[in-house]
Amino acid sequence: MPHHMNPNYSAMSTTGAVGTTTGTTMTSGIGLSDRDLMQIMLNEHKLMTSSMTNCILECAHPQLRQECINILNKNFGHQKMIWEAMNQRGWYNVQMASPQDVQRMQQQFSQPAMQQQAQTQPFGQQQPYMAQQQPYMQQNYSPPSYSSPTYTHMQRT
Amino acid sequence: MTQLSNRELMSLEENVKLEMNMVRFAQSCSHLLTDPQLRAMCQQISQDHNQDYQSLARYFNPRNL
Repeated sequence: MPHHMNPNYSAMSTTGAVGTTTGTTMTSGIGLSDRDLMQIMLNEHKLMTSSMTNCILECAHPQLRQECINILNKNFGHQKMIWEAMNQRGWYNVQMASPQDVQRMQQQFSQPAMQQQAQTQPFGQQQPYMAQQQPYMQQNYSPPSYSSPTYTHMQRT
Repeated sequence: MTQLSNRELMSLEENVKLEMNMVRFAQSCSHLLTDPQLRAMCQQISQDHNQDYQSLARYFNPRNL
């Protein structure tokens, strides 16, 4: 059972996966630091916004749909509040994209989308979208030689 | 009153459970956290999700709407 379906959250303290002491934050009585608890709060809000979005997309009931949109907006507010609290305490740092990567994207997408399609193949003779965007799905694919970016803000120190 | 579809009912159930769990978890955090600011924030979040839980749960009984 995923932990978000388990109301007994205190059981997570027995896993040892998140019950770490950072040395910079106080830990609660169950071995979880403030940082651990806030990280779980953030993750749960990400899950809830995703689930609520699916609910809205499936809604035919107009009143329920509007209710869900209102709740989703509140969830976004909570997520921002939690993230800002973590960011202020140095628990969630953001690594900016390098100018080289941004420039590469600018070059790749400098022309309107319709013109980019015309440069490749006429409509209907193109490769499936997923095959274009995700080369790892093709056989005999070898990853590019450049080093992939490291998302250090996602890692715990 | 519009009747709920199967998909709406399933999705509603999932989200009501998530809201219920978040009410409990945020409430627990408000006791477990050591930082007073974070404790107050979690207390507020728990109250907000309790309202959302009640708003969604009403749809299981349309007479309450």
